[in-house]
Amino acid sequence: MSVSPKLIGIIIVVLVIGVAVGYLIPSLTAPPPEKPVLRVWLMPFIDEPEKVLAPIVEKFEEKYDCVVELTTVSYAEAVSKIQAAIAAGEAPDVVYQTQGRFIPIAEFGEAALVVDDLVEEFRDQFLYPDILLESVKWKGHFYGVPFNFWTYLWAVNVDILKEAGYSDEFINSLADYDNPNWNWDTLHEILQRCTMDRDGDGEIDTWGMAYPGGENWLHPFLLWLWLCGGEPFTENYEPNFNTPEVVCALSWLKQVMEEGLMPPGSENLKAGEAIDYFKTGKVAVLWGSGGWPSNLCETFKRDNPDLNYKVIYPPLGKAGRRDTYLGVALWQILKQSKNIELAKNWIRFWLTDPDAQKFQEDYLYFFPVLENAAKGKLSET
Amino acid sequence: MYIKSLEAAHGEPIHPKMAEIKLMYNTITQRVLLGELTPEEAAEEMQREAEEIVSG
Repeated sequence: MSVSPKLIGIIIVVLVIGVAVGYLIPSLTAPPPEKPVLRVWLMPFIDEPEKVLAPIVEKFEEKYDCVVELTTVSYAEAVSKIQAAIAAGEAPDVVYQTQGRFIPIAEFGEAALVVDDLVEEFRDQFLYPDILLESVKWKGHFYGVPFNFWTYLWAVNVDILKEAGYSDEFINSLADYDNPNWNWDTLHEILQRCTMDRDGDGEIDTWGMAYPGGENWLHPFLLWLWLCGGEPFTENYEPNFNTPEVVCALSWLKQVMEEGLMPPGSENLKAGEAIDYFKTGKVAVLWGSGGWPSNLCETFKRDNPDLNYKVIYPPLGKAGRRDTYLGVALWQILKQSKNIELAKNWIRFWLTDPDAQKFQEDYLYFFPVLENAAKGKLSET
Repeated sequence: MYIKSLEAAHGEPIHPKMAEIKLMYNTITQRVLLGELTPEEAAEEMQREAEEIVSG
């Protein structure tokens, strides 16, 4: 029996289609190759961080063809939860860290990756590297990379100072970093002159400053200790409290209290209450505690549009230098990470991506750490 | 001004026991404000308690 060439052609076409479909269908229905997952733990440095960070995270995921899983843990529980995850062998790849929390992780079975190499990669680009980087170094190594920072400035209530007899020229001179006359003695005089009975009812109604004596924040006492030229630890991390500088700081606070230059009850004041004294126009000087960027650049203006204040530098302290607090946020990589290179790219991304840099100013009110970082609205304020 | 203030900035003290030490110096400072301790007595007390915390 002869087979026609036409039939042979049809059979070949059918066979080719069959083979093609046989190959194609499985490849169409097979799941795509799994993308690497980067597990990042955050602390609530902003409300709803997962939601707010979404645009930045999506950009990173697209760039590195990966999936980022964000988990938020409270500041109070962060260290214990990270340590528990490490102990269970389920540590995240990267954690958001603060200066006070990265060491317990670095010390916990040496769980944190030393990232000296990553820091060196960017060292020449850091703003004031000696200050920024040294503040996050532990026993000669970096266990995290800083990605934003903030400092505290002071502020004065212009209306109160004017009522106390100070001129615009004088008030403006407090914002001159090189003004030698803006010193501790001048501060004391301002506090004395601004503690006044402004409405003539025989009662004091504005005071020089407020101190949160009932608060357990880190910096209020330290700001005065530093202005006295002291340090709480020696270079070898030994306690260094029985010093003339500690006596200087405590004597100052006692003096201001006894002279009535602080509101009554300051020994039990909470930090928010002390800040509110300035925000509501009841004290003349905001002396650093509360002088972080979001307050001075936005919150005070929003909450009390009538508050007429001027941002100033801290005075020269007893040791002859100005001093303030430096806060730094870090990304810390854990050794258990299965994606260490991706984790490093997460850090590189936060340091260099213009959107990530602007985000830190526009939403977090913190400054990116690199000198040539893209500028957000905070820098423009 | 914030960037300029970095020149005068002081990083947070780096110490694994910082949380306990912070509570210690704030509590003792409060006692000074309450008039229970002189600054000199307080400085001695801070040193003693800090050494206990660090060695504990």
